[in-house]
Amino acid sequence: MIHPRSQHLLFSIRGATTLGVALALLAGCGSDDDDSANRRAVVQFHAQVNDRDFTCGETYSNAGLGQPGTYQVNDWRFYVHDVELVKADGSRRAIDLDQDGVWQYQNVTLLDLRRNCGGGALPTNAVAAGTVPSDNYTGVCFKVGIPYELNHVNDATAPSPLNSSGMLWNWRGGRKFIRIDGTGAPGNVDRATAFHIHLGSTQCPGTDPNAPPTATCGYPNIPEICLDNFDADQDHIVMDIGTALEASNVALNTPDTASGCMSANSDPECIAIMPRLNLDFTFVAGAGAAPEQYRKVVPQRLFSVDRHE
Amino acid sequence: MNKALGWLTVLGLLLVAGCGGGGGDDEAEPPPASGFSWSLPAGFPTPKESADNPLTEAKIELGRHLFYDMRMSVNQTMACASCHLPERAFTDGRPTSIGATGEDHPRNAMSLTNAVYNSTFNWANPGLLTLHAQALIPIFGEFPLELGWSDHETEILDRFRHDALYQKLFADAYPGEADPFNADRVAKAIAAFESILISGNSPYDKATFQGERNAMGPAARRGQELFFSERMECFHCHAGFNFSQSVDHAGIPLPQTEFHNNGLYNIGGTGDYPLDNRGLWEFTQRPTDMGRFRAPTLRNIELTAPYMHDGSIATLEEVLDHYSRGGRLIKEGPRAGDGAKSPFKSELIVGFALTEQEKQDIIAFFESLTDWEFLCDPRFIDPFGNFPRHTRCN
Repeated sequence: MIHPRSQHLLFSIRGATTLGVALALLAGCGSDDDDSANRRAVVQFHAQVNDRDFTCGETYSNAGLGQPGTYQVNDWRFYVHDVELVKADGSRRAIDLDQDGVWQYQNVTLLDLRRNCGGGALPTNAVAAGTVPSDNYTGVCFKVGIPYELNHVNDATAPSPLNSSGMLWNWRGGRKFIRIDGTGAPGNVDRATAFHIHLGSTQCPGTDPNAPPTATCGYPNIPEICLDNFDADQDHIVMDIGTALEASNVALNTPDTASGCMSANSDPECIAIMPRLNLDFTFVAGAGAAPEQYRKVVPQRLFSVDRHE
Repeated sequence: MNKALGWLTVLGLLLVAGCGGGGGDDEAEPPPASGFSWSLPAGFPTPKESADNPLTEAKIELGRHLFYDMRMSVNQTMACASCHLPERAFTDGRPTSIGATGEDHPRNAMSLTNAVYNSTFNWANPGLLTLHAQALIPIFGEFPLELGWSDHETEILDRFRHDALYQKLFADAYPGEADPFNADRVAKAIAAFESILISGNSPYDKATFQGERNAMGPAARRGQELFFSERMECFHCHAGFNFSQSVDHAGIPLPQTEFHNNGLYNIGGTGDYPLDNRGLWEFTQRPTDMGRFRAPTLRNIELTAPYMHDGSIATLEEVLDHYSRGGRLIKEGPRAGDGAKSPFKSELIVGFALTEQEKQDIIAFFESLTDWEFLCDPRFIDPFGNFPRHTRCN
C-alpha cells in the first residue's frame, strides 16, 4: 500500500522525529506531487431555505410567491464537477479530487446534505476535497451535475458515487444532477403539493430509455457557478433553495406535469426555476407551439458564499 | 528488528490509515476471497458477498435441499418454498402468507428474485442487512409462527443430523466442522442458495444488455417509455438495473436504503396504517416513517400477484389504477380514509391519467421483465419433487 516514493522518503529520513515524519507523510497524502507546491483544498457546502439551515421535516415559511408559502424538503443531494479555485487574475486551478471510492470519482463529487432524513443515520457528505497548487485564491468555480461522458454509464457497473440509486433518472437521461424533494403547504390536506427540483439533462437523443443517448443532449443543463470572495479555509458555499424558488408558487403545480420542476422543457413550473440556476431555458408548451426563450437570471439564485463563523 | 524499522512499521500503518481512505471509513471492505464464481447475466454487477458467509457450491447445494425440505417446519407441513414457490417467481400467490400451524402472517411473501441485490431485507426492516440474518426470521418467528423452530430446534436439527444425505451435504458445505448442525449453518446455507436466484435474462435484458433489440415488442417498448417518464414517476422508486432503489452490490460503498409510503392507507385522515402493518414506523416510531415500505424489484412481477406489502391489490391493472389515482380511497369500514391525502405519502406519488392503450403498454413492459431462463433454471429445481417449476418449463 505504501507508495514507492514514500518508502524512499522513509528510508532517507531515518533520523527525523516520528512526529516530523508523520506530518511530512500526511502532507503528501492524496497528491501525486511530493513537493510542497500543493495544498489541501476542502470546499464546503451548506444547505439553507431562506437563510435557515435545512433539516428534513422542518416547515419553512415565506417560500416563493403565493400563500401560505410554507415548504418542507425531504431530500437534498447534488453532483458537482470541475471544482476550481480562482486566482485574483482570473486564472483557475482545478482541485485534484481525492479518489475516495465513495463520494468522489474522477472530477465528480456527490454532495449529500440530508439531515434527519430517512429512518437511520445516513452517511452524508458536504465537501469536495482534494489538492490544488499552493497559491493565493480569491474565488471558486464549479459545474453542477455530471459531465456527459460519465452521466450515461450503466448504473449496474458504474463506480460510486455514480451508482447512487436515488440519483438515477434513466439511462438515456443520465443522473439527476440536483435532487431536492419538497412539499408546498405541508400538512394542509387540501393544498399540500409535491414540489421538487430535479435538475438533469433533457432532449437526450435516442429511442430507448435504457440505452445511452445516441449523441449529446440538446439541453445538458449543466450550470457553471463562479463565486467571488471565497476562501476555502474560512468560507462555505450556501445552497439556498428559497432564493431559487423566489418566483414560484410551491403549492401550485400544473396538472399532468412533473411535480415542481424536473427540467422538462414543457413544464411551466420550470420557467420560474431553471433560469435562476444560471441556465437559459427553452419552454415549449406543446406540439406546434412556438418555443419561448427565457434567459438566465443574473446573478444566479442558488449558490452564494458565506463566511464560516 | 531494529528500532528504526519498528517506527517504519508504525508509520506505514499511519500512512495506510491516512491516505486513500478519504472518509470512506470501513464501508469499502474488500470482497471475501472465497473465489466463488458467479454466473451473472450480461451487464449485472458482482453481488456483495457476506464476509461471514463465503459462497461455495457445496453450501448452495445444501441450501437448495433445506429450502425445499418439509422437515424444515416443526410439523413437517411446509418448507421455505411453501411461501416462495418456484412457479410463481418464489412467491405464494396469497395476499398474506400462512405459517406451518395455520397462523396468518400480516405480510405478503416477497419474491426472492435478485434478493442478493437488496440493501435491506423484509418489507421494512432497516436492520436486516444479510440474507442469512433474514433467513433466521421465518425459522424462529413466533408471532406469527412461520417454520416454528422456537423450542423445537434440537428436534428439527436431529432430522438432518441423522439423515445420511444431509450428513454428506453438511460435511461438504462446512468442511472441518465437528458439528455443523445448528441454526446458523442452516440459515447460511439457505442464504447461499437464495443468493444465486439471479434474474437478468428477460426480454428486457436481452434488448437492453444483450443486443437483441427485437426481444421486446412495440407495446413493451411504448410501455417502457411511459414507465421512465416524469409523467408516471415509476422509476423514482423502481430505478436501476434491479428496478428498485434499495440496491446493494460489491461496487456500492454507501447504503442505498429507501422506504416509501405509497398512499395505500390514511386511516381516519391521520395518515395511520393498520396496526399490524405500519412499515418502517414499527422500527423508528418517527411519524414520517408511517407506512413506509421497501420498493421491491419489479422483475418477474407478472407472476407475483397479489401485490403490495399486504397483498391488498390483486392485479397489475389495479396497481396502475392505484398509482394513477395517487393513492387508495377506502370509503368505509375500520380502514376508511383517502391514501392520496396521507400526510406521510411519498411526494413522488402524484397521480396520472392513462388511456386504456397506455395501460396495456405498461403491462406489456412489465411482462417483458419475466425471465423464463430464470424460472426454468435447472440449478433451482426442488430435489424432492414437491415444488414444480412453472408449467412452461416442461
